[in-house]
Amino acid sequence: MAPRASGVGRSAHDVRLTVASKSGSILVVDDDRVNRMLLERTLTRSGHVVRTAENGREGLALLRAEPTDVVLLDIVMPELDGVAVLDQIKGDADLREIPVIMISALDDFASVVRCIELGADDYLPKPFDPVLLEARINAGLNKRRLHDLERARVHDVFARFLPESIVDEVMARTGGEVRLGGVRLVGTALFADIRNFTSFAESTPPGRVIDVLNRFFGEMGDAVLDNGGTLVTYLGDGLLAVFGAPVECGDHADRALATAREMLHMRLPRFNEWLRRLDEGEFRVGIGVSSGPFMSGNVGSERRLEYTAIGDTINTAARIEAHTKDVPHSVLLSEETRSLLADDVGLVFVDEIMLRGKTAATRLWGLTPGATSTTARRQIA
Amino acid sequence: MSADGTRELHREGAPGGPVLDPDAIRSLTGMVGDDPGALVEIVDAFLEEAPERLAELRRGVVADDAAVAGRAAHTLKANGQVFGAHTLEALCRQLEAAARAGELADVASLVDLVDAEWLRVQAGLVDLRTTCA
Repeated sequence: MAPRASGVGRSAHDVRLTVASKSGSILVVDDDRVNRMLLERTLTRSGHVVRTAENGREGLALLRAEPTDVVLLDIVMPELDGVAVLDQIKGDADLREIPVIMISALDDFASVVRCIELGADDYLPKPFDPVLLEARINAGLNKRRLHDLERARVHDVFARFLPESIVDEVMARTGGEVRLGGVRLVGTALFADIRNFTSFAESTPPGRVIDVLNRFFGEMGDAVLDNGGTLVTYLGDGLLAVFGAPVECGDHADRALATAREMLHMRLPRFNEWLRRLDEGEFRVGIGVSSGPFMSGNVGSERRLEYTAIGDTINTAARIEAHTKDVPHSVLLSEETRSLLADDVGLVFVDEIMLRGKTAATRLWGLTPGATSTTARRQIA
Repeated sequence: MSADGTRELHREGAPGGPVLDPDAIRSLTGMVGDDPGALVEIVDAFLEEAPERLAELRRGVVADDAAVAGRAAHTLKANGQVFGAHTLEALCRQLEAAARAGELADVASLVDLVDAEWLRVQAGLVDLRTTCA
């Protein structure tokens, strides 16, 4: 039932599958060979997978190398004693959730108390009682499973809007909590929507409308996630994505432009090909991109949680996207976005517009001619 | 091994009972699942490890190295408990406590007693092994 040593990479489904199992992966760290053999023998007979280490250093190496559900840790050991090992386990984000049961003689109660204060989950007096050992191990395994289930749930929540590659990083930042604290940072916002979708929706059976929308959001959402963006929300027939939030990155403008290009040159043609097979004609899209400061974080309740991004940069991206209706370009970028690009080859100046609330005109850039050639205005049947 | 698993273990030594407590051996036998082979392996581990711990204990006491002496006494005490070698356990407990208190010099003479007691425990273990094998 164990996850990777890093404690990640397992879906809620995988975890649920193993909840019924009572066996686990147990690491016994004890310099006392007799005790090690007895623990290994007893735990193996109970159906657990047991690994042993004869000192603290070896124990830590095994913990970092292989998945472990519960650690049985002796206190008195040469080289690195149990207290020092416990301290390292609790100081390591990848290991700290593994339940640790200290093994101790009853006359070393002070050490046990110190270990509990340091974060040990329980202790087992030496010589151990097999029934007590089994009870302690089961309690540790249950704790581990509950933690894994909760972690998988939080992972699933984040994976809805974040690329898989940064879900773990975000979870490490939030300490496994589902809340993302609000942050203000500089990033790039991207709005994409389907042109003329309202008229299509009004003249098409609801089932087909939803199928088409899901296909569109599937393609475009994947373009965002594959380029490291965060899928903030779906708005009717459009979507909002941000780059550089919640995890900052220096190339957010480049990622947003790469996403826009992928949407236009790869995703949209594939989407339209699928539409043609349904005899639904074609759509074109509008994509607006703007860079600057904005705030982002989770809002809502545990039962209904959404990631949101707020700020002038977001509004600007939406207005720029709307402007694609007035020019022969499907993709428009703000001057701010262009100025942040590592390479602005393939861009062409399109227009200069006054946006509501702005005192200066916003210069807009599009993809060089030919970029829109693969799209065509939807032919209304 | 005999029906109660304790035959031949009543080698009298310290006042008040056998060198290896039959109750401890019974519980140990149960723990390994009534598998004589497994019990032999654990007896062998103790027979192999104890001389090393005894050497460490003496080295630690002579050098007044509380960490080394304390750890060796701690392990011998724990193994003594497992096999019901109560006298060995009691002697090692005193040595461990003295090491922890930094008073090893006061208990140096106990090391000879531990060595002597080990010889009795060793004989008891060899007997136990013979009955298991």
